[in-house]
Amino acid sequence: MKKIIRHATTVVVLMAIVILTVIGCVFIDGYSIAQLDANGREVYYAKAGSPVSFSVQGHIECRTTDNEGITTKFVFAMLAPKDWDLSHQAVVTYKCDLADDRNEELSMSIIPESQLPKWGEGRTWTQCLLSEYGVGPNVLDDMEWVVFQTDRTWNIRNNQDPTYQIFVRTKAGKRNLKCKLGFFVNHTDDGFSSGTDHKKVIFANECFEVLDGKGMIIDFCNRHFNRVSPLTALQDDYVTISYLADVDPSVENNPLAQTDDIYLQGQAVTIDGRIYHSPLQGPQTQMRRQDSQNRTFNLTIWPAGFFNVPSDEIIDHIDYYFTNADGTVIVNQSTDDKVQLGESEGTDKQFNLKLECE
Amino acid sequence: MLFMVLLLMSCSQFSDDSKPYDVTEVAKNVSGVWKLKSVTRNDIDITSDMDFSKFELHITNDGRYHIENYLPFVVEKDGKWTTDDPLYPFQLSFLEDGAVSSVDVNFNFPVVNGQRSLLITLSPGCASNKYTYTLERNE
Repeated sequence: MKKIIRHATTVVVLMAIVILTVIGCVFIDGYSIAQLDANGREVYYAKAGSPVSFSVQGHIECRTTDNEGITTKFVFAMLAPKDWDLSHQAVVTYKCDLADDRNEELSMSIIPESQLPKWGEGRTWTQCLLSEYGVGPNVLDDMEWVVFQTDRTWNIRNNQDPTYQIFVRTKAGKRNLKCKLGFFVNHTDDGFSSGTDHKKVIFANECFEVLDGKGMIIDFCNRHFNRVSPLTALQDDYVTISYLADVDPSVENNPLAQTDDIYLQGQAVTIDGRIYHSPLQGPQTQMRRQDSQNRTFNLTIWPAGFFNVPSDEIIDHIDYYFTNADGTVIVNQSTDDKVQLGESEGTDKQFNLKLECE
Repeated sequence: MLFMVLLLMSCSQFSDDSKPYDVTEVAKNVSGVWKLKSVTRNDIDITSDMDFSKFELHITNDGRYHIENYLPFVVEKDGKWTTDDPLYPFQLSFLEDGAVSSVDVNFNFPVVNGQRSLLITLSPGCASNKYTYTLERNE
């Protein structure tokens, strides 16, 4: 018992020492994700594969009783679509008041997977970020946190309050999409501690869009009536198609809002233009409610089997919609456009799923 | 000298060349009718999301296989099968009838609840989508 009390006292004393020694904060003061178009105007979009740059500004307030100050490497992470392949494409630099030349851009590098954060309980930096913040306000999870650290180790003394600017220069990915980018700062001496003094996260308010790329627009920013997982698939994948009925619970905007008896209907169009229809409303096409907490209905299909497409034919895309048992009420792309955009061209535009890989 | 010869002879009389703790490895029998017990897609269990119960992989002792109620797999048509090693197999090769080359898949063959399971990882669609099929022998 005495041993336990002594151990607990030691832990408390050690914690107190840590608190007394390092009281300081890391702040994010702002970010910029706007790009300049040909006319020099700020825009929140970029063409697929084109160079893009982002920046984050902030400051550090170092309060420590340790005469030696804090010796640490600054950590920066960015949340971006996996399609951007940030870990291979991005060049990350920073400017800092602590440098001899505060206008010099210094380098940051990817944190190796083997370098775990001090308080990460055995998890990598990426795993810590994903479990703490997920993919932020994005509604689809095909995003990733990519983590960098300063190549140089810095010593920050008590009452030093340096400012910093971080620059990310990379390329937009190949796919058309809309997403909310995110930024995170911390430092290795803190190593993802539980508090928020030494680590900060910010998600861009603006929805950043990639244009003129591959495929239909994947919208990470807004919840739609339809959702598909995985985002890239071929006819021999298993594809889960979901109807998110609670995106708009009003029957006026969402004619299927009041029913739980939902069916997936549609057609597969092959690259030769042949059309194969889904089975009619029945057990094969009935969508199952995910759980009682929300009104999401799912159906997982093997596209080639579901549409009965011969094995020597290739599906180019699938057009689909959600309907009730007798097919009198429909939710389709036109329904979704009306909710998302306030208007729609016609009423019979179906949801479209292009079957292709990255 | 005679004494020593007698001693050596007597020793050899009691020597035991058998190795009581040696166990002879038994050739692994992968034949049988295998049914899907679970399916994961990109590490997420989707077993209950679809009816996988009718799929059957028939592996017979004559070196042939065929699939009933086909679902995406590494091969589709009937053909021949082999393993890389009868004692310690970790690769299954399927050669469809009429095909020039076989499809080789790494597999695990763990014993779960006293039953052998067959674990195969495959990407029948996009390479970025990884599925793990856990198959159970139908008794």
